[in-house]
Amino acid sequence: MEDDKVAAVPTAAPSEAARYTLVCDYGSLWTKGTLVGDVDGTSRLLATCAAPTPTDDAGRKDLRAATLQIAEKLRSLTGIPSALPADAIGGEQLEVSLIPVGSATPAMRIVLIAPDGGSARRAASLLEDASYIESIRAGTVSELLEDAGLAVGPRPDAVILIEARSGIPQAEVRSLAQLLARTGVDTRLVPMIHCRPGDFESPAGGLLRRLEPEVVLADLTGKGSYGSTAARRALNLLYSERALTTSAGVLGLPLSRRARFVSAAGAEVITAKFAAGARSDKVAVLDVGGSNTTACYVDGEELRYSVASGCGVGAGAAALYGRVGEAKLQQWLPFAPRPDELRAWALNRAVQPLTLPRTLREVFIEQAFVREALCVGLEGIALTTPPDLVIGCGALARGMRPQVSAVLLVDALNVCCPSWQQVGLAVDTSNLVPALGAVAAVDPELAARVWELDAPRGVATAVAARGARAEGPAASAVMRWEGGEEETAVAGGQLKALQPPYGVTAQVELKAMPGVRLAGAGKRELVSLELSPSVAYPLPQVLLDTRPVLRPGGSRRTDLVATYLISSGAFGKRDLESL
Amino acid sequence: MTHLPYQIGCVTVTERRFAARGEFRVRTGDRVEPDTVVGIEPAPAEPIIFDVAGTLRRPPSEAAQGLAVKIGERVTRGAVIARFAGSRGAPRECRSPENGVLASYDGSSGLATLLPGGGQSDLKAGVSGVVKDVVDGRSVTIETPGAFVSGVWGVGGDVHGVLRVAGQGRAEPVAAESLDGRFTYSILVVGGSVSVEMLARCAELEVRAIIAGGIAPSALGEYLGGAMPLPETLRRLQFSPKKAGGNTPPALMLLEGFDAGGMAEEAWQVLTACNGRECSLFAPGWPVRPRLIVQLPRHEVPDPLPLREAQVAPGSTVRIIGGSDAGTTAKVVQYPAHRVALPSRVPVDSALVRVAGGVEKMVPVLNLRVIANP
Repeated sequence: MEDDKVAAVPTAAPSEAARYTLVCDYGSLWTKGTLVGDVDGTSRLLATCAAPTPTDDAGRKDLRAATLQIAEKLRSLTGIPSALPADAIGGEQLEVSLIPVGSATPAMRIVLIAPDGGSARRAASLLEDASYIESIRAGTVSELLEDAGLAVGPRPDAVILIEARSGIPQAEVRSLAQLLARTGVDTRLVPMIHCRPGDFESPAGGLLRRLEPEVVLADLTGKGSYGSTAARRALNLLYSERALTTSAGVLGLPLSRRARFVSAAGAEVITAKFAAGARSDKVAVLDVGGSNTTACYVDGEELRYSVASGCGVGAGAAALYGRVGEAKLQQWLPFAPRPDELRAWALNRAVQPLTLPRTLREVFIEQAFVREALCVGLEGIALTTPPDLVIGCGALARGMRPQVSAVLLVDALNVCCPSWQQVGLAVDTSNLVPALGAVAAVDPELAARVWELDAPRGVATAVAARGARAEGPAASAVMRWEGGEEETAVAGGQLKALQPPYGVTAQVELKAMPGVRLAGAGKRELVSLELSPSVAYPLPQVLLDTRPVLRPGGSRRTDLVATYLISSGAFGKRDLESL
Repeated sequence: MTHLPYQIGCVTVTERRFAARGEFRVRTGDRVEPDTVVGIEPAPAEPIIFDVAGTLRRPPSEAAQGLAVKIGERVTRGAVIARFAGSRGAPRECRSPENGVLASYDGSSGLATLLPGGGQSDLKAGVSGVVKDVVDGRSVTIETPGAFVSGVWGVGGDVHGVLRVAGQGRAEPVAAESLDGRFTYSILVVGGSVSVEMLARCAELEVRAIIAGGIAPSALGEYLGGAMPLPETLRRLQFSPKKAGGNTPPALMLLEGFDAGGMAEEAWQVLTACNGRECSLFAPGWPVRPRLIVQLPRHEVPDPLPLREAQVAPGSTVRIIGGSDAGTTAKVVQYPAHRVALPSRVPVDSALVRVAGGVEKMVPVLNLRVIANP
């Protein structure tokens, strides 16, 4: 939609031996193409583009048509690929090898069998939040046998049997056999995953040995459960394998020989882990998509991620509204919405998800939804330690100016991780986070090389100043650059953007007023930052947040929101007056 | 591929598929009606597990050696599944409890699984027309010359009946009390948007479906008994039996969206032209768009055209989506036009369109729904 971009073009025409990697991220609304290849001996991002994911009248995504659209767009931008054979498989002799990513293929329906109801519910809650899972029907053997929907409905896509200290009782083995027959596991139509501890011998061992399920060493039954990551990974792999065989047309395209259908969330986790490792920082990646919102956080060896499946700002808008409610959304608006206005927006966006906001009012409503989607994602990973770097993807990177994306990220952090003090904000306008994660699954060195030079660009460094009264003095900022200086007094209740003139390196010194705590600095201690433009960070700015750490509320809510939106530079005074 | 949403004089192709595999009762060239059973499919029945080893009174591994039927083989009721010829007395036999397929034998437990040949389910045509093609065991396609209308959201499943247009204009709401028994079992077209009273009255009259421009979320929510139609109700209408009086709720098809007013004039003209005709409405639920197929006699549609694809081009008639002029019909003047900035200051591909009164404006292409080609 926005910015189909050419990042770099080889100086020589591609030779027969030249290889390019095309990552197609098939989203529910948009397919994003990322072309990576050699530029004068260096692996670089070459170009990126996006096109609406085509659907047929039955609502099925046509991945083949999406890929050909992307290839055509890239060809018009770069001349690469000169041809995309539609009937070849494998990439060795071809100009381009394709790596598929995304969640455009149907999510899976799972049946989960457990020794008791509590274990079933616990295990289901551990596994269900994933973009590749549509639903989990969980219960004991007898509960599931009595489930009328299971008896007459379509077969599930996978069955999970969890056992641990207590396994399926011996007396229920026959019923288990019946259940597995009903679901299609017995005849190998449906795959099965058996989660059990390593030294556990199931009473249904004989039956299970015959069925040869995939075994995952895990205990998902008790409070001290472990192995949920391994179980999710097994499900993810199952989805990937199934997606390749069920997606319309993908098999007819030049898939990389080592490619498998990586979910976008999985790819983002890979990239987040790499980014955190490369910088030795705590990194959070927040992706607000049309249908799902993904959040992941990496701090050394600690990884948390959550996928709010079905919650987004496109087809997932109605679900998001239902989840967060009218009141939370209204809090972000610099105007009072009409009755039904937000509901109607959510429903219309869900049924016509590609439409764009045409008025400023619609823009603010959309941004309120994005903020709440971010909150849903952050709540899912339950941040206790603020990140050093936050990378915004999806809706934050397309259809929104970077300054606005920065404001939304800071707003969400204030709600969900209010202890943050100083954080870098970046926006993935080239869709590299999921793309390189998928490339890394096939060629980690290539992914690392491209990331090193073309990582998502920084938007701002946000600095928190807490304790100021609304409109009272909060901090002073002095910005110095060669040939100039600027001093700014910042009042409370603002989100102040401080930006040097274009193309200059500047030193920024922030000093807190009495009673104000600035980014964890001590009394009378200055916070110094350097703003230096670069390819990755072309228009650096500081966002100084002097607002109280609360959701906007109270009778003056709309004024407060308008004030900080103007001070952030994201919108002008005339914009707000026109509402 | 997106088709023009309102077409008349066209031929619509409907595919009907078995869930797995079945047997068709029609051939190419056969005429069908919506209730015509075009095929039958074995209905999945509860697998039957029976104890082979226990019946033979042998260990499971020995019982396996006595199997008389291969796994996957079809058996009839009473057929011998396994036999053990003991050294004393008559041989013991285990017989199939039902007709079906021997799906498996578990050598550790001695249990066998039979998939019975159960009942059958009928696959109906759902639409009037002529069978164009039959893919053995899989699907049948039916051609229907007539009219085609596509909506933005619909729910309620597949229904068929006579199309009845109520009211005088596309934007004029219809009073619920003006509906009477003439509309029973019909597929009702109304101007304006649907009210709570209209929904209740249609349920009372057993109207099969309602087609309108839009419905207020609060109206739909109130009718469903909740404050807000949540995502699951986007897929299917959850009716409070009290409100619906126990009758099957009407399916619903919106042509414009939620909180929208009347439908486009082009849609109204197609629907009024089909007033009194037999039609079929398919509204499987979001995210699949609903569609209405009307059969017209051959003499009225001598040379039906295939459904036309929508094109954004100078001269196309479009409906504007979103913004203060949402629901306005316009004519494309220039496309592609240069990119314009949204209020968010993000540049997007746009088209120059002219609305009533001659006013021209730039509208993002994604906010245009083509309803007529140049």
